[in-house]
Formats: sequence, structure tokens, C-alpha cells
Amino acid sequence: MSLLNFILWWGELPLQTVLLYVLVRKQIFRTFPWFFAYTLFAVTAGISRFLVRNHHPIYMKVYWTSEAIYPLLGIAVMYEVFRSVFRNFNRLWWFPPIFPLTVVLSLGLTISRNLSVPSGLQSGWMSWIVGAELGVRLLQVAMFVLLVTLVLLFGLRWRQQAVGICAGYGLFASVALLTTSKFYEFGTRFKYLWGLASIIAYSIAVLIWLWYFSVPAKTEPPRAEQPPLTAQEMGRYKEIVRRVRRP
Amino acid sequence: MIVGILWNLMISAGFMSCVVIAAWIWFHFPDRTADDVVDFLLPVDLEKAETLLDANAETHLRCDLSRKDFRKLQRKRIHLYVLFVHRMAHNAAVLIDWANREAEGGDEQAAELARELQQIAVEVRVYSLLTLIKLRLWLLIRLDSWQILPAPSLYEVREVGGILGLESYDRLKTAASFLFLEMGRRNFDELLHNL
Repeated sequence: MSLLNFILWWGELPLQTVLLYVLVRKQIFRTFPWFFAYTLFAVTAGISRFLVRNHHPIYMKVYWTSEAIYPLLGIAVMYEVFRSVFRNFNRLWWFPPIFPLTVVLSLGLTISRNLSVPSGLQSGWMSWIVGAELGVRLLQVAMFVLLVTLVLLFGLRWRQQAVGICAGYGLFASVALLTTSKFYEFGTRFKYLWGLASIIAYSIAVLIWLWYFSVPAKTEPPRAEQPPLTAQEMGRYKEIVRRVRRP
Repeated sequence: MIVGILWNLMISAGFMSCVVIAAWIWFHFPDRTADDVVDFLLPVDLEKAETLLDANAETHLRCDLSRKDFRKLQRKRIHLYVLFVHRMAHNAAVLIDWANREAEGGDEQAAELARELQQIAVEVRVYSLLTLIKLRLWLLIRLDSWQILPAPSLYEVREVGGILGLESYDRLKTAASFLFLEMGRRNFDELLHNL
């Protein structure tokens, strides 16, 4: 493995470790426990893979075990993001079923696709793990599209950390889905290129998360440089507010 | 075949969303403070909107006018309500933008009011968008001209998606007023006038 390849292949691990450090420092496990768990797992899995990279049979076991856990964490993170971004919508009766419906549709579409396009993997359980991963990628893309649409429609804030999590996953998942599909279509001819594209996309996703979680919280905006309202003014304003009908 | 199309459609939607979010980050309005609210609002005549949605007033019109005249008038009334709802949607978006900023501030009292404003503004926005879709569909298929069906009643859009539109907008005005007061603004009358 050349130095460039080595950096490309393992370069995301230091980035992910920095992200973990930022998450710990900002106590993100309080607000996004599943995303924190995902990052912690990604760092642990990455280090484990790195340590056993020269022992092929052990590497395979570590690789496939971690790959089997990623989809479960992926769904949990997306649910966390969904709940966080759309908490204002919970009063609407038609909104809560959107997430389970998106999960079911994504999985349904993935299963249909897996049945029509064979993965080429010899082992059945490997196919299931790859299928589950594809399902979660599709779910991440679907959530990202839903989020962008609703951000535009309802004016949600793009700097929200949940939006950052979803944007990172959305970008990476779109690239991962594209490369996987093209891998099926073109076979191993562009294997290196597809692998590279996925790694670069994931590194960009980690950079997006780093940016979202590193930006310091906004300080309190300065109040109007005017003296406080007088009691008379306050009374007048309260009277006007009272005139606005309440339900 | 269909699965393949849907699959590719999702991938394309993912990439398009990346482009859209990048464009949005580039073009969106910078931090909206309390100074950037009043001038950006569009006034909504709530009394007139209330009249448009009043079932009794509509029944009177239906009885007093000929079938043809009522359908013509109803189309104009739908257009007018579309205009009001459009303004409600715009104002809610401006207030969400402002509330988003204040909700992140350090003042707990203001942040609490801003979160309340956010919730109500989102409700108004949902109502406005669903109502606009419904009304524009009526206008598109010219439901008012179908002789075999009764002309559409505007009373039907009083509540859409489980949200009472005008009542929610009233609450929005109140919530915006409270936050405005909390921020110590003097041009309070202008805010109420423009909402």
C-alpha cells in the first residue's frame, strides 16, 4: 500500500477521533447520545481494524462484525435527528408516522433491489449485512431529502447540529449508494475509484460534523441601546397585546 | 424496472439536496435580529379573512346571488384568501427565522418566548402551505365552474391538517408581541400593524 493510499484509507480515523474529542468536550452525549455512540463505535472499530489489518482472517471477522452493527446505530441516529429537528411537529397527528414509514419504504426498496440485483457475495450473511447497510444508506438519503425539503418549507435553522448530522450522512450516503450501484453495473473495473470516492465522501461528512460541532454557541445578541421601557409604556403595550385575541 | 428507477431517483434526490442546501447556505438571509422583522412583514387583514371563512356570510351570498354570479364571486374570494394565506406563510417564515436566532441567545426568558413563537409559527406555516396547495388545486381544476358540483366553500379551509388557521395566526401575533416586548423594542405598534 503506497503512502497516499494509506493516508486515504486510514485518514478518516484521526478525523473521527478529533470529532469524538469535540463531542466529549461539548458533552454532546447529553443531546445526541446515539450520534455520540455511533462516533465512539466508529473510532473503536477503526482502531481495531487498523490494529489487525495485516491478519486477514481476524480483520475479516472484525470488519464484518462492525459492519453488522453500523446499520443498527445508523437507524438510531436518524431517529434521534428526526425527533430533534421536528420536535415542533409532534402536535400534528400526521407527522409521527413519517419516520417509521420512511424506514419501512427504504427497507422495502432495498430488499426489492437486492432480490433483483444479486450482490455477488458468496456468503449469505455477508449479503444480509451489505443489504442492511444499503437500506440504512437509503434511509439516510431519504431523511436528508426530507430534511432539506422541510428546512426550505418551514425555515428550520441550517446551523442546527441535527441538520449537520443529517447533512453529513446525506452526502456520504448519496455517494455510497451511487458507488454501490455503479459497482453492481460495471463490476470490479472501477473498484478502486468507487472505494476512493466513498472514503473521500465519508471524510467530508466527518469534516461537516466537525464544523457543526466546533462552531461556538452564539453569544447573547446585544439588546437595543435604549433605556428600559417606562411603566406607562409597558402598560400601553400590554393593553395592545391583550387586544390581540387569544384562543 | 420500477425499483431501479426509484433507486436512481433517490440517489439523484440526495445529490440535488446537497446542491440545494449549498445554495441555501450561500443565499439565505443573514442573522435576523429584532430590527429585521417589522420591515419584512406583510400585513394581513384578519377581520376580512374571518369574513371570507364565515359560513353564515357565505350562505347568505349563495342565497342572494344567482348561481353563476356566486361562482364568479367565489373564485375572486378564493384568490383573495390565497393572497392572505400567502402573506401568513411569509410572515410565519420571517418570525421563525427571528425566533431561531433568539432561541439560541443567553437570556432564558427570551429564549423560552422564542421557542413558543417557533412552535406557533411552524403551525401557521404548515397550515398556510397545506391550504395554499388545496386552494391552488381548486383554482387549477376550476372547481368553482363545475356545474354538477356545488361551488367550493371557503369554510372548509378554516381547519386544515388539524390546524385552525386564523386562531393559530392570532396566537402567532400574541407570541411575536411578547417576544418583541421582551427584547425592549419601541416600534411595537408597527409590528402589530404589519402582522
